[in-house]
Amino acid sequence: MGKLRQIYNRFLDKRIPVARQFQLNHKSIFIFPSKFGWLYLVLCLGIFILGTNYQNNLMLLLCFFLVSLFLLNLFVAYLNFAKISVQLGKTHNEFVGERAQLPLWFNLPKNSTQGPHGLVELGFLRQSAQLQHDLDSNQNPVKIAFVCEERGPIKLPRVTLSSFYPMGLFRCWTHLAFESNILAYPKPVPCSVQLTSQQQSLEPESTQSQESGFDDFDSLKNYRPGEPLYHVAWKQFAKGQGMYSKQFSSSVSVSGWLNLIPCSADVLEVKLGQLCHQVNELTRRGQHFGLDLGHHKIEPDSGPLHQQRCLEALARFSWSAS
Amino acid sequence: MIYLNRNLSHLLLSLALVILSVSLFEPVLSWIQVLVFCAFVMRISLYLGIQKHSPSIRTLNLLALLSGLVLAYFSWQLGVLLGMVNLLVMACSLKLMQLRNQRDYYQLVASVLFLISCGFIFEQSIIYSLIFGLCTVLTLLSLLAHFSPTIPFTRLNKRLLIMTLQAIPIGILLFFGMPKLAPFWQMPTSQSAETGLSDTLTPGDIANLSQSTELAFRVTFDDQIPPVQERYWRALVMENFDGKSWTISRQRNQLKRNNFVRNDEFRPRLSGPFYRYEVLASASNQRWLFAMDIAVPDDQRSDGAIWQSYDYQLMSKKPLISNFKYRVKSFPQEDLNFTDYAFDRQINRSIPTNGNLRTRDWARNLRKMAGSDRAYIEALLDHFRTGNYRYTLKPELMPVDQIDTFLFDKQAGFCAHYASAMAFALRVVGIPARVVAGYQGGEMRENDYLSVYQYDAHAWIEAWVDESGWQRFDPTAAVAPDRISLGLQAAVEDEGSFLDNRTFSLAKLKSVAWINAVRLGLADLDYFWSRWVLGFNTEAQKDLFKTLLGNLSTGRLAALSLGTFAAIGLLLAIFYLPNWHPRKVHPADKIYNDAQKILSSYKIHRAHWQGPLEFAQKVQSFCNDKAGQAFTRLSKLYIASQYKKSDGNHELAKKQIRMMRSELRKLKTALNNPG
Amino acid sequence: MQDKIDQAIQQISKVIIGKQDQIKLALSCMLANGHLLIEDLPGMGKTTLSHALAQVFGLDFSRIQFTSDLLPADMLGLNIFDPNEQSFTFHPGPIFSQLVLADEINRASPKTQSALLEAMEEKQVSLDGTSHPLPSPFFVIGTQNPLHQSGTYPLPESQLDRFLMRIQLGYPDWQAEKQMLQEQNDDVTQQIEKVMDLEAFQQLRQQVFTVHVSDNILNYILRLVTFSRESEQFPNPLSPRASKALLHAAKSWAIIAGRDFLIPEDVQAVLPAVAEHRLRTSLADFTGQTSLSNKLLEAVDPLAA
Repeated sequence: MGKLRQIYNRFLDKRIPVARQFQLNHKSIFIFPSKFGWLYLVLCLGIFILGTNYQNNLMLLLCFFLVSLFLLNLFVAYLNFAKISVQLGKTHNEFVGERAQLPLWFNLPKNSTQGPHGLVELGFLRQSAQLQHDLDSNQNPVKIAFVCEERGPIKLPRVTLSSFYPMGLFRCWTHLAFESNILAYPKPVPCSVQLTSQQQSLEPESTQSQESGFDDFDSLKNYRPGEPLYHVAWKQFAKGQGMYSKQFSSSVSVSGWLNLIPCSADVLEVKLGQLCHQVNELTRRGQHFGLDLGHHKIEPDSGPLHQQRCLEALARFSWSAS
Repeated sequence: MIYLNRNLSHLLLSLALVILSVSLFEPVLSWIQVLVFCAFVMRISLYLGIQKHSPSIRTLNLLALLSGLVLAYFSWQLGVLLGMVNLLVMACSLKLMQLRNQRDYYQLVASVLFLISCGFIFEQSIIYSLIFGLCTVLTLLSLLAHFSPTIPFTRLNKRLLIMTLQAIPIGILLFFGMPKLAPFWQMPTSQSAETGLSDTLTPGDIANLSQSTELAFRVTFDDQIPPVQERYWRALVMENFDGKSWTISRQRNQLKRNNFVRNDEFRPRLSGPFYRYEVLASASNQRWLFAMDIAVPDDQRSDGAIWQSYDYQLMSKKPLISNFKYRVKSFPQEDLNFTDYAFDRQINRSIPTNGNLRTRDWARNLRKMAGSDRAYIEALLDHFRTGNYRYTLKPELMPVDQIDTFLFDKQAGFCAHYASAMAFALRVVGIPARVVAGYQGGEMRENDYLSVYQYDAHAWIEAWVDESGWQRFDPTAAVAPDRISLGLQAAVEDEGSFLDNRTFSLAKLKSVAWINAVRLGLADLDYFWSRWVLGFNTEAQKDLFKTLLGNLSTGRLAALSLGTFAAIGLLLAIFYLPNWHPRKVHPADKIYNDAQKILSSYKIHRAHWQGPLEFAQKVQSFCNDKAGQAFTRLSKLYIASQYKKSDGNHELAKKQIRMMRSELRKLKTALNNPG
Repeated sequence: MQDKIDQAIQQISKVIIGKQDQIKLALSCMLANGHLLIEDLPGMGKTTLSHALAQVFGLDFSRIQFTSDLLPADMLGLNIFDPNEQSFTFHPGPIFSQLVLADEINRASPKTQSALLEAMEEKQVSLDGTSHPLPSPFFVIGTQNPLHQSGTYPLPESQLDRFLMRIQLGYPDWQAEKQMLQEQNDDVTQQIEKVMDLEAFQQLRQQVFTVHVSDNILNYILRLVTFSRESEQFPNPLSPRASKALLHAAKSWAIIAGRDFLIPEDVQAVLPAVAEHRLRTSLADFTGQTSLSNKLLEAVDPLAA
């Protein structure tokens, strides 16, 4: 069974190689009568037998009409499916255990009557279809979800598109291999933040201090001549409480380091998960921090870009990388 | 999608089913019709949102069980075919109520399509074919709507129309090209009271037969058309009388069977003037055929399919489950003088030992007074002519001694009464006599063909007098000469009983000229329909092949079937090759593309992001002046046609295209002759 | 009308030498009723351009120098208690001008920035429950210094698209700079004449709406924005607001070019200015790399049917 599957996969790889965008064509489209198509053929045979036995030409005509309709359906189904052009949109990295969204964009010609019609079922190879997408009321992109199971770069399974348009007699389908660079970050493991001021020192310390700034209103102070009039608390003045000047402050964070080491191989995944959680937590607080993975260090910084860099490093981490 | 209540595809399918079941009014039991209608109403209310949920599975199972039991009870009377059809309709209606997943839907579609085909067993006229066609279209529309639910309905119709128009020629090719096969096995047939003659004639029964406008058969004469008085179409000979009904004699049947086994077919030697004609008999599920006396099959094919028996009857070797066409030659002046004397005398003079005593006495007296057999017959006919007899389609019921009652009390009846009475009166005095059932007259359509309807059914008698053979006597003609010369309607005009249980029938309104014209036009259409569509059988196909191929060698037949497939392939190619590259190019785009192609052969390419204006500037800097100017003008025209407000001015657009063409030519010449 | 536009361009070119395209972009931005962001090093003529623009159209002009201690009230104005009348009176800030130059916008705190952006969007200032409408027309020309970023608050991406266009002036070429050096007079504003009054200006702005847009052009714009949404190369796809802005700006560009219909080149001309700051994630990758909007332009064929 596994062998067969391997052969099939190799066949698919050759026939439909990995790409970002696909215009479906004779190479990528498979077409075969659907279950209903077979039922329909049996029905035609039944009508034929009945018509012959009763020597009834109208029955035979109906039968032949239905058969020729079947034939036409083959072409209509194929041509319709071959109009589909689909590409993978922007993907985002996800944590292990979360569902990564794959946005698929169906490119349609400007004239909607010329484009593909009907329902398209989307899903992954060897899985049941996840959703139905109606090409006639096309709303790009169509998102199918994919559960990230392992840390690191993700190899997407093939995406199966199938359509029964126009009459369900034929199933057109294709298995598309989209090129992706989705990374699965380690699954965050809740823990307390352990920031060290020095690399690899284990002492936690206070990470915040207040400093005079301009962001937030902090307190009132006696007005001293020379201070800008705009800072005067006019409301207090109007109440006759005297001239006060508003003081503003902003919080400034102190940078520290997150350390992977010491760590043994068997707790590596947990440790990475904890670091992952801490990176998220610190970014949420807007703090400066650096990440030390032994052979790979990321200098202290803050912000979403920094977070992404750290998470990517965690996702790609392996001992041998050193 | 399937769970959506507001589902057009389900509505269309239910509409198809309800139309179908109504059109199968006769075969389908009325309570099943009601069931279908309920399901239809339920679908509509689901569609309109009046009702939110379809009934539960449990309710439906219960309903199915009950209906099944009732149907099982009825099916004893229905027979296999009707039972099956009723079962199918019932199952469809229940499925329609249920309809929960894809599978239900597929099954229902297949069942409805199958039911449509079954409909053709019962009805084959143009009208019904159209109705069944409509049901097919609705079912297919439903399928289309099911698989592309948001396409507007009009586009759906267009799509189906295109596919249907494409499928029809292929279907017709298959129909004519596929060899017609003989029935694989005998199928159960539908017994309908109305269609055709019956093999028992019970004059005491009500006049049912005369009220049907259905076609019995059509005749196309080769050259001469017999006058209406001669058009006696023999179908059945009834020689057994039990005091009430005339039936086919059992001995006669036995004899026929023996003859058939011994291959002893009746082959009369005939001479004299004759009529040649072709008969197209409607399906009757019986074996008797129709012809004027004395008839013999005219060509080999008819000869092979027809068995002639010694009572001058033509029989088909197979029951007429579909329309049957045969050629006959009739020799009207020949005597029917064949007889197996002892046998004929024995069965044609037997009467029941008791009953109808008054008639017996009266007949014997009349015979005595007449002196000879022939004079007696004349006296009898005279009696009918001069007596107070009346031709009516509404005779009263005559349960006992019906000949006595008829002759002496009621004195009103139709052909069967007169024929029965006269045959009885002849037999009483020892003259061999029998009743012949068939058709008389028929409606001629402009010398083209003769249509004989069921209401033309007739009965007359044959008597063996003077040893000169069987002679035809028609007592009805004596009573109501109009019946023979002008047809049934004229005969019962005063009574107004012609087709009076049919409130809407065009045949009733023959007197209104244009309605009659319409009716006859429809008859023409029907003639064409039954001759070329319904009557296209194995033989007709062979004829067609012969005219196409010359002879029917295997090689040629193979070539023909190959040709059929090639033609189908060709049709498909015509339909779909243009779609392979479906892009329609605006003429301005085309010219501009041509210009680009020409330029790129001179190594001037438009980078694919470049707009037309920018490209024109580039071209100008790369080419000679003339070419550059030509292309700039072309580009300006192109820009004007593509981007400027057009105001729907077609003249201007055409002019622009013309100018672009001329600039393209200038560009070509300028590039070819630099400097 | 056309000659007035040409005159305006000519007038501004007198002080910003060799920057025709940028001047036209700035003009079309104003015609499209949008705000302009100029991103460049100091001394490149940002202020001069703003001055000149105000001058040719006769708009009143004010300049706000953004600094880290600039508070919203410094810019918008504030209610000052008048002890004599025992009531608050509104003292409008410098923002109450037809053309506001917000210099070094990224130096101010996010609070001040968002106050400005809000005023730009709403065309009014709300203070203590009363709203004070800003003059009409109202343009903001913001400037940013892309290089010196320490201690600055880069405008958040979500708010960058309040500016219809972002342009860079860049260094003048040899010839232009030479010509500039030869100029005797240093006071540039005195050289510029007013070429049209407010009414003519408003009329011109109305004319933008009458520019005909063919289906082909709409499809081209749609192909452009769709490509930015589909392709991996663009981390920030173009929003429907961006496509609307693109269309509007292109129409103004067509007016300046003297056409009453759009051609692909109009879209191409304004696209880098309109789309670049919407496509970028942050200021960080401002320099170097080929611009994303050019990538976008190169990917889409304007003529493809």
